[in-house]
Amino acid sequence: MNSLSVVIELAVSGLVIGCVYALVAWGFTIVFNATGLVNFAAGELVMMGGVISATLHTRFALQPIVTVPLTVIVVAAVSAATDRYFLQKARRQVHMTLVMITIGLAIGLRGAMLFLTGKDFQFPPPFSEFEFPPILGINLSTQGVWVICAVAVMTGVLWWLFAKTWLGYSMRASGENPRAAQLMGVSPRWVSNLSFALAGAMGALAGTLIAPLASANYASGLYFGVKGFSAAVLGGLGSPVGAVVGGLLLGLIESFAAGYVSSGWKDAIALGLLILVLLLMPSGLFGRRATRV
Amino acid sequence: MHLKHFFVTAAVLSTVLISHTAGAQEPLKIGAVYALTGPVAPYGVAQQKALQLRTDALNAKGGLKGRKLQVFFYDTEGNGNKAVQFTRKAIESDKVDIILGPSTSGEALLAAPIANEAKVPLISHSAAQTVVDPARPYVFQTAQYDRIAVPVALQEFKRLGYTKVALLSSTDGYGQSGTAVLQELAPKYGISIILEQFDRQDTDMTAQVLRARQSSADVMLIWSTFPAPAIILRNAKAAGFAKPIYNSFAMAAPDFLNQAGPNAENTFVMSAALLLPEALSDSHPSKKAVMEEYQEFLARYKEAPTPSAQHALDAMSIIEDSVKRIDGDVNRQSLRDAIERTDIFGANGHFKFSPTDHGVSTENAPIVFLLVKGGKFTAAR
Repeated sequence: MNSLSVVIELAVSGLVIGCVYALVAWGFTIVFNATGLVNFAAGELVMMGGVISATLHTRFALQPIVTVPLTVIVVAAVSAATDRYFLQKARRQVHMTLVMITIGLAIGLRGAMLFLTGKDFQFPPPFSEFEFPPILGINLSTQGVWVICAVAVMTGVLWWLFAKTWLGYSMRASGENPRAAQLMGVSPRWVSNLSFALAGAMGALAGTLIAPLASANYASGLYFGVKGFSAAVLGGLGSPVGAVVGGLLLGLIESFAAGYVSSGWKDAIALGLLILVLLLMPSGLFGRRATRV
Repeated sequence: MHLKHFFVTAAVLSTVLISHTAGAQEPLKIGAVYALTGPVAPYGVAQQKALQLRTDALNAKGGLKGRKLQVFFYDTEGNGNKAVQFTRKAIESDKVDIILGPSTSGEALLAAPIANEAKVPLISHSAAQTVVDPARPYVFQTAQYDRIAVPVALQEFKRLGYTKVALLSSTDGYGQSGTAVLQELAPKYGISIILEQFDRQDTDMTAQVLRARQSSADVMLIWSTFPAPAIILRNAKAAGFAKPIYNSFAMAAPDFLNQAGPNAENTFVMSAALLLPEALSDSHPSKKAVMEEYQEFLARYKEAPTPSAQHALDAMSIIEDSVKRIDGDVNRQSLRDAIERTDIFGANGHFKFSPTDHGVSTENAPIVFLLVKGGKFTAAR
């Protein structure tokens, strides 16, 4: 029960939840980069990841190896559909209108999930049953390791996507200058669809990863949306690196504030620091562009 | 022209006569403002089932004083604003004679004043003392509340020799209400409280568990509704928390066992006796009411009731008892006056209402301690 093990336990706990925040923050960032839009339904995508994978398990007795990819695909498709059939039809509207539409979509998705998956809190099984032996007196939760590994892998994948592939270039180009990108043969509409699909996949992954630890429930979208958005803003909206840094930082601050200062004040401390950062660096830690409202 | 006048008068007279006689058979309207969906739906749904079964049984026997019971159910989703809207709807559009619910304290604190102002009796199923203290003329409460449950818990801790309690509570209405009462009453039992808090929707309480472990408390008490306690138990197991863990009566439901799984093993839950009637001693004055309510629910639904059901059943017992004592017209006012003179034993305890006391009695509450063994609730001693 020494203080080193406490520090490590708090750090691990903070990292795990920080990774989940990072995934949600990526959802915001990718969409923002490609379309300039803040998608306030991002939290609901996380919620859907959780409840759909949990329901697939309870109703059809499918194992995580099946439910997780299936859920990610379904939610990515739903997210792309919300873009194609709702947001793109309103593309000529004022920005504020588009934001309101995403909020409306969030409410609609929440209602749909209540109807389809019920009101209960579901705890689906962890991805693997293997239990780590205690290291230095600390018990690592297997699911926590999955979370961290998944985000580490995704970091690599996203970096490769945006830095090395034509697809990534198109998305970045379309975000910076849609007209020029169009002239170069990139379809902004298609890029927009793809970015929403990718954001849906990120969110769903976050949802399936956290559900065994924290439960899946139709009402949890707002909570994740707020945390993910705060993480994205902290790191700098528009910066994928910022999203990861922001997410991990937010998770760690929450965990250490609860562990060493006061558990009742942890959210106030974490968000207070966010405000402080924004006062000093309005674009966030890694942000490059100002957000248009 | 005379003939026309005759027919008009006859029509008017007959409508008046018919409506007057129909008045005697007008149903007694009950508005049930419950959380039927949403995170706290387990409470509301159990109450709806309980209410349905009791009103059906009474209607089969001809209703109360010849009037059939008509229930209007409203789903608040556990949302305070909806609770207020539906309370208004029940009073103004559906013109109910009495309101049952809401299911949670947050909703009740918002909805009760509405009923009180509109002079409609309301029997709440919430668990916060502040709903009926100070007593408002038209607001009553059947559920045991924290001021009743807390002394029982503190007495048990004192009996077991615990002097330091690590309290992990949520920051919502339920957690805060319990925390306030615990902090107020603990010194009287020679117990000190170490407080750790979390948001009801938080995903990880490792930090709070570690602090509880560091504080060398003798026991952990969790005061929160779903889903946090299941998460805390998992965190506690991972952190190797070795002291006994107690949960408040909010976890006295099968959903707790489903959510926490093996992590709940060997933990304690405070519960109304209805969850496990055999844990209550036969000599307890509420034992009869508890057994009756348990049996009637089991007979109709083929499943055991959760304690939330008793709030609705006790409310109906109070209404039944009150209507018997009314001479003359049964309306909002006469119901309220009769309810205020109630003196019966329900599953929640002794209801001895008076102008200053609109809640269940604090003495000898039928609360038991349950130990989770083999994935089931068992009597702790």
